[in-house]
Amino acid sequence: MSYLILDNVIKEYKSQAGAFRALNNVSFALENGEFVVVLGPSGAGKTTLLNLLGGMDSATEGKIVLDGSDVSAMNKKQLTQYRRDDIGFVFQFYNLMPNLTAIENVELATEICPDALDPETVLESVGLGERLRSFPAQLSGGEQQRVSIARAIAKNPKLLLCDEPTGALDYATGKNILRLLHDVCKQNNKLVIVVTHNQALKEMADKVITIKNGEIEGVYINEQPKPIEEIEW
Amino acid sequence: MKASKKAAFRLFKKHITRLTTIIAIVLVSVGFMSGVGEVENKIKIAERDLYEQSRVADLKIISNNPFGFTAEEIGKVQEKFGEENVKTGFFYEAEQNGRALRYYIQDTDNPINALELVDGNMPSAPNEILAERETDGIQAHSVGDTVVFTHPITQLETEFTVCGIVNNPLHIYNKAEPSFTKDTDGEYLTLGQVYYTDSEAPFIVNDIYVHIGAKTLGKLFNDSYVENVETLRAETETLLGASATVLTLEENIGLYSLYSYAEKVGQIGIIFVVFFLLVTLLVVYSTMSRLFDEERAQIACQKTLGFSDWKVTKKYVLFVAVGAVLGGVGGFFVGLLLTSMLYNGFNLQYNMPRFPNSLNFSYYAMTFGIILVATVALAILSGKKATSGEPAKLLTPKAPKAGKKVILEKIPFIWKALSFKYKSTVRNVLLFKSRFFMTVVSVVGATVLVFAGLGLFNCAVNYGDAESLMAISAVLIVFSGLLCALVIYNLTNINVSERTREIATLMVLGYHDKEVTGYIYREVYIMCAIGAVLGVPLGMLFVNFVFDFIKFGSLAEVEWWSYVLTPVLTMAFGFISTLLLRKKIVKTDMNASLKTVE
Repeated sequence: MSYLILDNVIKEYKSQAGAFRALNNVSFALENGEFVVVLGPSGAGKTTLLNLLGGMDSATEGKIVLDGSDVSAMNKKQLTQYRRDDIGFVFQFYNLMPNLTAIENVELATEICPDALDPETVLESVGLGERLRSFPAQLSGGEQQRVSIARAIAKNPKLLLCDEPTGALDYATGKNILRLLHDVCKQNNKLVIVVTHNQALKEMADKVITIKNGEIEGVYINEQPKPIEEIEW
Repeated sequence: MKASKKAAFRLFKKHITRLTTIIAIVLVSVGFMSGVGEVENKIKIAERDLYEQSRVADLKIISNNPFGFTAEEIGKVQEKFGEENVKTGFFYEAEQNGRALRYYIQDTDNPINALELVDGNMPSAPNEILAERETDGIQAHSVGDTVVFTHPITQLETEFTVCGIVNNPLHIYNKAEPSFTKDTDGEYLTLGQVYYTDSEAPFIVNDIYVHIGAKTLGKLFNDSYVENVETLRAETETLLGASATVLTLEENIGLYSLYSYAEKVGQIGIIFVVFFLLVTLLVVYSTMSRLFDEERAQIACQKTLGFSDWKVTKKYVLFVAVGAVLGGVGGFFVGLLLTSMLYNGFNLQYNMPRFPNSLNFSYYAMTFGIILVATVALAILSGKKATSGEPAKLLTPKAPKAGKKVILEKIPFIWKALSFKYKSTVRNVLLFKSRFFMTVVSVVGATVLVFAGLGLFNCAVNYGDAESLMAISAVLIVFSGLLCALVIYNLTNINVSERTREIATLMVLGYHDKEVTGYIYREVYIMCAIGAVLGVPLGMLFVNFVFDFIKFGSLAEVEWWSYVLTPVLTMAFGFISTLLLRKKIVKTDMNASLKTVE
């Protein structure tokens, strides 16, 4: 059985105008340790997919199973616990607490996780050993995103979800961040899912899922992923 | 709809809670200020109306001679004041069952110091008698009762039938009043029964009433009135010599004490109006300046589009003006209600004259005017500050005062022991000093008001007979409590709305509802606690000042429970506010708040 399974997942939003189906019969399976890129234009349903995977929303129909546990059957409280124990999030805009230092932002996550890693070690591993006591406002965008990645991996989650993680960064910094995410995936054997609209990134992924109009357009297995340094866009 | 109008409309919709709280705060504030402020006016007007309508006696001249005034003496009085301003009569007092019975014979149709008929009819037969209405001292009577007493002149036992119940304007006091009769120990007896029979020309005249009127003397009980009456008293005493005692209305326990209570209520009103005004303005100012902070990105966007500073600020000014106007209109009705409530509260102690019809808006116009002008001015001021930067600078989020370590961090063993929640709280509290300061000052201000209300209440209870002030202190407690609750609710609401992103972050990290709300609540509770702790000693200073100012009560009379209840109430308001805002916190949309940059 695969590590992450989506089976005919449907997500409908109801409004006065009627029901809108954001995801329609989405099915795929992913293995632990894979670096997965989800590609699609804006409005395709990428964010909805990420929300369902991250336990921020529930599917209308279908099944989502991560490491044997049925996420689609969880209630609100169980979903919170799922986010707490199993999910690491990296956002486009970092979402750090402005009044906490880098290390405190990581502690914010590790304080409530049972299998958390040591915050200082994790921050050193993302190259921020020197900036532990800096506040977000004193860090560059790339550094802030590193703190956010450190916060996500320090939880030691089962699944690392990244929503346009380089969207707010310049080219070179963006590349560094992607390398870091790739390293986290391969060195710690984590399933990492990166959601992006940047077509170039499919070359570095083990698996590429393309999504269009709420449906899976295709799932490609990349036999020979390229290192990020060799990819240009 | 024009886009700028839509933007204004959305602003109202987005910050509807904030608008509602501004409306409520202004409503409570204007309602209290105009309501309490007007009580003094209304009582004074009612007393002056009564004085004119019933032609209440400015002077009551009592003969010290057992056979009363001579015809010559009466003539002198009539000559001095004009025959039409003088009413003559006879009265005598005797002890009856430990209290004094007073019996008047006078022309009951004479409009001077007219008796108000409360029940029944005026006398039309010789055996008919009027009885004074029941008070704490005066025995109750009903129409039809039989009264038997010895006629003081004929010494015959006469039976009378009570034909009517009246109220003498000199007896509007509901509590026991002393009589002129002394008991064996030399103490004045309580007046227990008062009767009137009708006679146009009593056989003996020992009781003269003189009404001169406000045209000559000045408004009842104002300085010129008091001065003029004193002069007349001295002149009358000279005129009649040792044979007469001249009493003025200043010696009338009913009318004069009511007047002085009205003045005290007015003084209390002034102090509290100033305080209410300050707290209200502070709250509105901090609400607006924090609104501008939150709307920074929008403001920057409009500025880059070439909107002038005023065009950008305009809708925020409209926002606060709408809040002030709606609150002010509501406050008008609250004020009317409050005035009549407080006025009628005096009925416990006085047979209050009819509530005056005259509409007087001076207090309302003043307090509402100040609030409206000041809030709009404050909004323009904070708008000016918020729009003054270059658009480029405004577009980037306001940098938090980062890097500053708070003092506690220099004590590692304490700092390290704190979990992130407390670190964050401590930093929030200490780094945003001006915001924190405004919050605490508003909470302290409201707490001080609650304490002052309770303190005044304690003293009013102690003085038993000072009912009048119990009602106003109860109103004070209620309105200060409301203001305090609104201040805390408003600040909590702002806190939540400023922290949407942080709340969403915690939710995504898997923090449970309780942990997320705790993050916001902790700060609110700390501010309430500081407000509560500082509020009591400052409240003591304030209430002491109030006591000095109104020459009533003292700090020593404030009961211990007021010291306990005040901080408990403040904390309770904090607790209720957080409870009410819980839903807003846990319903925060994680996506909307995390995937955009504000």
